[in-house]
Amino acid sequence: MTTLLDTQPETRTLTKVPFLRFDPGHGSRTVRWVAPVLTLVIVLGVWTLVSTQLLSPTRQFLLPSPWEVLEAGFLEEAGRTEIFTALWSTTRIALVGLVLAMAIGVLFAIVMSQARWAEASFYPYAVILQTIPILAMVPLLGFWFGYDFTSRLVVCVLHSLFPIITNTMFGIASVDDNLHDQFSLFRASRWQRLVHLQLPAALPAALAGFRISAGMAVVGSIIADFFFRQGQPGIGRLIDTYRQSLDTDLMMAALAASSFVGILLFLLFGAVLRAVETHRSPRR
Amino acid sequence: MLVAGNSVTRSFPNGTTALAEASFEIRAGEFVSFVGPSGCGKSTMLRMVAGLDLPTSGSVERGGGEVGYVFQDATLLPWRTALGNVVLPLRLAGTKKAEAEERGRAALEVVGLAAYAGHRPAQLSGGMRMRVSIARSLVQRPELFLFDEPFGALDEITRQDLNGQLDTLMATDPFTGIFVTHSVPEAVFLSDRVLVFSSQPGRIVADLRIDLPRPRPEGLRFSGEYAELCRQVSDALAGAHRSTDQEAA
Repeated sequence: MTTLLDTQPETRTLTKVPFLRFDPGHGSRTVRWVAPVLTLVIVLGVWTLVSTQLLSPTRQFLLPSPWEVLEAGFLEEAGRTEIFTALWSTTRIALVGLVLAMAIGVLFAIVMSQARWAEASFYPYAVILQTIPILAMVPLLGFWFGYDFTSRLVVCVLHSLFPIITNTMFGIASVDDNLHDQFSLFRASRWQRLVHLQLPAALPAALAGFRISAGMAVVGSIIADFFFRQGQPGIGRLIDTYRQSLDTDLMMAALAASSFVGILLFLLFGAVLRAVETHRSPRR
Repeated sequence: MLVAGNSVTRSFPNGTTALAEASFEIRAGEFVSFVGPSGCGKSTMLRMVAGLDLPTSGSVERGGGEVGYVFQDATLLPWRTALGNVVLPLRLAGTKKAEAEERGRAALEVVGLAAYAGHRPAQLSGGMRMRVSIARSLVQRPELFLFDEPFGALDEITRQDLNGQLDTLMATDPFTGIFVTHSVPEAVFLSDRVLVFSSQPGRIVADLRIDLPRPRPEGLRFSGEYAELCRQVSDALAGAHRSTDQEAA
C-alpha cells in the first residue's frame, strides 16, 4: 500500500519551483507601440511593391502607391481642400446625428427601464429596426424626407441608435440589488432613484454605447450622402465622383480621411469612459 | 417593545423553508444578535424587520421611527464622496444642504472619519467604507439599527476594531440594534442578548442573555467569563446542528 508520504523527505533532491501562472499576454508597453507600427510598415511596403513592381504602368491606376495617395489627397492643395470640405460636411451631420441619437436613445432606455409595459411595447420593434439594413430604407426615407440634410440626419440617427438604447438599458438594469434596497429604505421616490442611483450607475455603460455609436454615426452619414445628393456634398458623394473619374488616389485618400472622424470620436469617448472608471474604482 | 416577530414562517417558491414559526421580542434599548449557520433565515428575518421581505405566514411588527440598515457590502455610491454618501438619506428626505452637511460631518466625526469627508469610496479601505456606511445610518438618528453581517468581509483586526467602536457608540448614545452574524465571539462581544437560529428550517433554538458591562472592559476577549459565554452560544449552535442532522437522517 502506498501512503502520501512514502519516501524519506531527507533523501529527496529539491528543484526550483517553476512559475505556473497563466499569462494572458498583454505584453510590454514597447510591444504595444512597436507591433502596430511594424504591421503598418509591412503593409505599406507590400502595397508599394505591388503598385510599383507588380502592376503594369497601364494598370497602376487600380492601386496607386501610398505616396501617391498621400500626395494627391493631402499634400496637394486642391485635393486636400476638396476632401476636408466634404469631410467637414459629413462630420457635421454625423455629430448632429450622434447627439440626437444619444438624446433619443437615453430617453427611450429610461422610459423602457421605468415601466415593464413600455419595454414590452417598444423593445421588440427596436430590435426589428436594428435588423433592417439601412440601405434598404434609403429609398423610402428619400420619399418621406427629401434628398438633403433631413434625410441624411435620419439615416445617421437610425444607424447609430440601437447600441445607445441597449447599453443604457443594460447599465440601468445592472444596478446592485443592495443599492436598490438601500434606496427603498431611504424611501426614495421613483424620480430620486432614477436621478441619484440608476442614471449615474448607467453612465459607464452608456458611454460604451456612445463609443460604438460614434463610429456608426459617421458610417451612417457617409452612406446617407452617397444617396441624398442635394445640398453640400459630403465624403460619400466625393468618393463616388472620384470613382467616375477613375481618380483612385484621391478616392483612397478620401477613404482614409473618412476614418479619421470615427477614430477621433472613438478615442474621445474611450478617454471619457476611462476617466469615469478610474474616478470610481480603486487604483491598481 | 420595539420589534416583535410572531410565528414567522418564510418559504420560497423553490420549496425551501428559510424560517418556520419563529417568534421573538426585542425591547427598546436592547442590542440583540441573530446567530446561526448559513441558510438559517437570520438575514431573511432582518430583511422582514426592515420591510424588505414579507413573511409567508405570521407577522413582524415594529414601532414607528427611522430604521438604519447596514449591509454586508458598504453599498456606497462610488460617484459620491464620503460626505456625499452620508448626507444622501437626509437630502432624499428634503433636508436643506447646509443642515444635512453639518449633520453629515458630525456623523463622520463619530466614526472617526472627519478627515476623509472629501474622499471617494474607491480611495478608502474596506473598514473605512463600512464606517462611512454606519455614519450614513447614524445621520438619520434611527430608532432601530439593523446590521446584516456588516463586518463579515473584513479582516479580523479591522473587525475587532469596528466591534469596539460600535460598543463605544452604544455606551455613549444607546440605541436599539439587531445584528446578524455567524461569528460567535462577535455576537457575545456586542450583544445584550443572543438569539441562536437552527437551519433548514430556521427556528430560534436559544435566547441567551449576555450580562457584561458597557463599554466592554479592556481585555474582555481574554477573560474566562467571555470564553464561558462563547461556549454557551457555541453549544446552543452545535445542539441545533445535531438536531437538524438527526432530522435529515
